[in-house]
Amino acid sequence: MSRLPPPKARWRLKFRRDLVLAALPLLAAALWIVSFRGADPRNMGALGLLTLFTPLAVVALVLLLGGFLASLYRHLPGWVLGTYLVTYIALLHGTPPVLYDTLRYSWAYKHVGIVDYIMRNGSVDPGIESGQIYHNWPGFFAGGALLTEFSGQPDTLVIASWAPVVFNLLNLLVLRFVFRGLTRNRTVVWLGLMFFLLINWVGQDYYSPQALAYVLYLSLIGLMLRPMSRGKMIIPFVIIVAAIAVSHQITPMMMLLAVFGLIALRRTKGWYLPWIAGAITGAWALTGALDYTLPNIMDLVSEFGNVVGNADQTLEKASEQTGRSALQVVWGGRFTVAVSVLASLIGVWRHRTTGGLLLTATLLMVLPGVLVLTTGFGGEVLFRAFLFAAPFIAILAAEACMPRGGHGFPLRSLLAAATIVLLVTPGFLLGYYGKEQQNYFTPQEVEASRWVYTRAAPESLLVEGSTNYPGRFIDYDKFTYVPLDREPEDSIEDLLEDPAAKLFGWFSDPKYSDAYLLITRGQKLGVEEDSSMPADALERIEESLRKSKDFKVAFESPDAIAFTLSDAGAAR
Amino acid sequence: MTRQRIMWTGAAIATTGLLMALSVEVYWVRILCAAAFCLVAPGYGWARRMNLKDRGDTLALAAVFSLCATVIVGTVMAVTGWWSPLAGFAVLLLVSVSGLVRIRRVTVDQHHGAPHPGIISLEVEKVSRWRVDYPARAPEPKHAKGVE
Repeated sequence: MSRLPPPKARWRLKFRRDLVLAALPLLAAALWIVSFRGADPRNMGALGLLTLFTPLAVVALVLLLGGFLASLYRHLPGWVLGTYLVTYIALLHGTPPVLYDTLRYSWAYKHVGIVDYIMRNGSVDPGIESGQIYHNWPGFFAGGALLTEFSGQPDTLVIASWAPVVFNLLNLLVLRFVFRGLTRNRTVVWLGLMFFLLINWVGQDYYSPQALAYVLYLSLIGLMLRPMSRGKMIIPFVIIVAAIAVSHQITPMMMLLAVFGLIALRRTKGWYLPWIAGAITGAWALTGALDYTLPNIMDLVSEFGNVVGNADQTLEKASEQTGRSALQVVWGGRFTVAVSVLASLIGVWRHRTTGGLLLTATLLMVLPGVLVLTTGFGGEVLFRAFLFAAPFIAILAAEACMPRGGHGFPLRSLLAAATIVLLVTPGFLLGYYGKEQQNYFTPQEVEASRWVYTRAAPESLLVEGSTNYPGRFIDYDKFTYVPLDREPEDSIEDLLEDPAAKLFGWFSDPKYSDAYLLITRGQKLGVEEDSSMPADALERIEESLRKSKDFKVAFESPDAIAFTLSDAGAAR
Repeated sequence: MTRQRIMWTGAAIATTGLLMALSVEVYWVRILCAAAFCLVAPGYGWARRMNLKDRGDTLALAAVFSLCATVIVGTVMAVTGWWSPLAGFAVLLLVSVSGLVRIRRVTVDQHHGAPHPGIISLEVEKVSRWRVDYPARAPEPKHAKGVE
């Protein structure tokens, strides 16, 4: 019979083990930083940032995720578990801004451009031709402009670079609030948070209105899940709904569904809440956003009910990917969705008799599917539906790991959680980081864009090789844009027959005060990836313009080139 | 005010002063301060009033209310064309302070003796007083006898 050590010695042993677990995030962070030392984002391959991963980075990730599960198993306090998740966010989402030194993702630059517009003009223009939707739902951009002014920056590029870190931290904080409204089981709450961070590969956490509206949407659900008096609930409810209503177009739809669902389930008291939410959303759509709502209402109506067509828009986009790596990225994301949904269904089945949490979480997981009924959202509706469902998929997947009684976190639960982590993490990394080769822009590309935008006279024509470049972030409203990859197929064929002659026709149009063609490294990668033009189309255009006497190189760097009319061309 | 509260207030003022001095020289300190202000300050006091009894939940709501305040103030200024970062800052500061302070009128009968530590009391007239509670919190719910 073995003798147990005295209680004091046992406590010391436990303390030492716990201390090791609490210090593990530091070690993981150090390993991660060392693993990326000297990494050059230019060397990213077809699998994006994953191609820069070294064995040391994988070890860091394993330590972080394994340490978190071990801490959960050993019932360590919340601050230790929180440290793991915050470190995970800092490493995963903080790596691009540190490594790239530029803002990633072309859409983020367009959003920076709207903030720039507000800072220059001190107002929005709901009737504007380019980027009209942003001027009709300006909440995020106006808040961003205010923050940029407070920070004393000339533009919002630096702030936007760190947006994924901030939004993920906010998601973590707000989701904890939501999950604690669903269950008092802390193990389920923390495991659900971890699963959420590991399955949310959709990448809607960049500097965008939807990232902000998502945080607010979750907080509204969290608020409604807490037992509160009417007086205490109503003012925060109205304020959050108002902030969502002025910031984004699709989130209010999801918000109305969720509010209605929670009231219908009697999870929250207040029959009037859906009416208030509907009234505020409708009031904004018919006042502040009237210039966009009226002309576009028929598009919305035409998409309503077309489930197959709306879903197909997303699937069609994905099916355009033909390369092996691109398919790996697409299927990696899909595999993560499949595993997490399967785990959540197991969670629903195993705990079907426990009521409360299951019913509410299942409803909130299923409701985003209704979005597919209403809109195609530019081929993104399936991604958005998954994004809104992800928190509840995560908490139900966490439930799947718990013992039937719901108490404790035995070894079997630990193994189940570790299996889910092992299955979803590769797909998450592929889905989230797999497209970084296109999303990364070199400082030379940013410099080239800046050069063109600050030199071109107002009312100039800016021809873009494709939209995948750091574009439209300075004085965006002063120019007319023609992205070549968005041209009709016959127009592209026509252009490629004799690029110099065709572009000369466009450039010499008297309605433009000046004209530039910008071709960048990112544009070439974008064209190659989405097959919108023949793979070497931009190279052929560049070569043709270099040979033509009508054009001259206005700006050139290793990663970008800008053409304008030469003196001879202008004189013709 | 208690001694501890005076010390905390002093430390907060000193830290703010130091950060303000640093933010002039170091650009990212100013970005951090601006972000921290927009993410926490306007909503913190109001979130405390919700009496959620969990620091994480209070912080979550503080961030959400702060984001809402920044978005709404910015939107009003951008839509009306009355854009003024200074006025925006002033409004958000007012929202922050009004969340932290609660002013209420109580009758003298309800208010026996000297005010509690942390409560500033101004005698306005003989029958009532203005009470400024700092920091403000939601009143504890009144339970009936025997009810938890």
